[in-house]
Amino acid sequence: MSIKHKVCLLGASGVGKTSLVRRFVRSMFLEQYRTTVGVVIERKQVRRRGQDVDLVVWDLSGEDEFQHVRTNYVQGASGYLLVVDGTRASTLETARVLQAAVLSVVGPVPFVLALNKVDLIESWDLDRRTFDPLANAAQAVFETSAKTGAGVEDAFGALVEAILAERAAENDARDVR
Amino acid sequence: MTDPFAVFAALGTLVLERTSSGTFRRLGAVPEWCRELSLGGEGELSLDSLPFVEAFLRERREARDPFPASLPVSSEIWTEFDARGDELHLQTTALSVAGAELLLVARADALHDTQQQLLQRARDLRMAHESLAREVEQKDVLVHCIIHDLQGPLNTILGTLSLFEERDLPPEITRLAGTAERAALRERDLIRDILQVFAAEHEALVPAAATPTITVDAVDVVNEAVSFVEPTAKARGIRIAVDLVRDESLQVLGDRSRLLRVVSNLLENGLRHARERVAISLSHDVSWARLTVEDDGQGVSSDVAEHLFEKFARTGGSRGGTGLGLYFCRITVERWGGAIGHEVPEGGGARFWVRLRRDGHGEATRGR
Repeated sequence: MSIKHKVCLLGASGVGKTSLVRRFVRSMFLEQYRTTVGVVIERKQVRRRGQDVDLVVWDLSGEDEFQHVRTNYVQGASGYLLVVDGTRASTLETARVLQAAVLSVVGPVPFVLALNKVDLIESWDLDRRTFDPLANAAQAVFETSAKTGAGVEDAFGALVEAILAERAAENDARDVR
Repeated sequence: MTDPFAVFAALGTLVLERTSSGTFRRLGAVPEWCRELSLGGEGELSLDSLPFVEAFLRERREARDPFPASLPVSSEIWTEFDARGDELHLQTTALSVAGAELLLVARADALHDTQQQLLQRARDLRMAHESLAREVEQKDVLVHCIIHDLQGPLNTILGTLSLFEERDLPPEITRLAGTAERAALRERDLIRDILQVFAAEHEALVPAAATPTITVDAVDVVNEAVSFVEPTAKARGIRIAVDLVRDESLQVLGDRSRLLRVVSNLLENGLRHARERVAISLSHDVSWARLTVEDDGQGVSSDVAEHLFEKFARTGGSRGGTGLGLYFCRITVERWGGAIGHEVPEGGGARFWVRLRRDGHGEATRGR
């Protein structure tokens, strides 16, 4: 028997959320940037801790002046992947704002910080000190590349692990009571 | 009579009715795309398989009228994938008809494509703009470094040329050394202007809230700026008329060294173009201080006036400066919530005015 978990991808527009999902679910990468309208829902089954986990992945349209992320969509999520484009420092601030907004909607559910586009690391514009506070709040931080696949499985895997660990802890606490 | 639900199905719309227990049941035939998402069949439909519709319903439940009888409410577009991996763009609408609470789930490919094209265009343009801005910034830094490094050798040249004045050299050599020294001084002015513009542009990128609310005495600054340019004015036979407010001081928002540069730039500009006279005045009302610098030169032609405060604009003629002075003045005073402009005085010539916020008085609005 499998268990179902909703996970969301959040971040500024153009950070590569859809590409990360496509790489994770379909092992594909499209060179051309194609912006997301509204929400794209993908599904993937993974096996962790000896059980099948059905992931319902909500890829939300990026936050920017043209479209705002509707944080209501995050309701019911077991966790989320917060994506930053390493080549654009401004996307870190967007991630910080989104994380605070999501926290107020779903509470402290696990999230993983993905510093994306590591294949372009020579063009990175991030200062480690600036993302440390967000990194400290995250369950884990991964440098990822949807293009090469680097870190993608690990980032999603860590998110699923964190979700399962939290659920296990909740169950243990319930059993004790 | 034609089954209306068959029409909906043919149009690609799934019709769901809310039951008294709060679940949803399919009405009539289901469209083809439902089968591709394993939503075929009849009767009750678990919204587990349509999580976006669940989220939309949750949002609707928080509304005063979740299923409006008039003006149906539609969701954003969302995308699912069929078994072949093809995208299905869908949209949900909530409405009430004759007491029945309905959800219509329909294909929204055309709307998706239109929205997608618009968003794509807007975001592509913004990313291109960001990328260009980064490139320009990198080049600016490089140019800044080069210009900064030119200062050293230029000062050596100026120092060497000044030594010529102390020697008893043939008149021709003295004349040539004088020409070289004037050229070097012009280059030094250019470097100074460029470096000031770099600094002011960098400051302009800092959010306005971070602007220090420091103040400076405008009367004091004007007097100092006049004393700087008086020798040049005398050498050119130009009189500087100073008309300051009676107050001994007039505190305005701004940084002393920058305001001194602004006033000096305007005075130097006036001296470059004046025939006989440059007038500088300072006045104020409750909220604002107004500084004007006027010259009796040829004035500024209307085509030049349009671009006076842009980067590398020239006030005209061979006596033009670096084309950065007025630009520096604009970005500097705007940074302080002030404004700058040009007008034609009644008797001809050119008048430049600057408005500066008085300490604790002016609102952060711009204007004359």
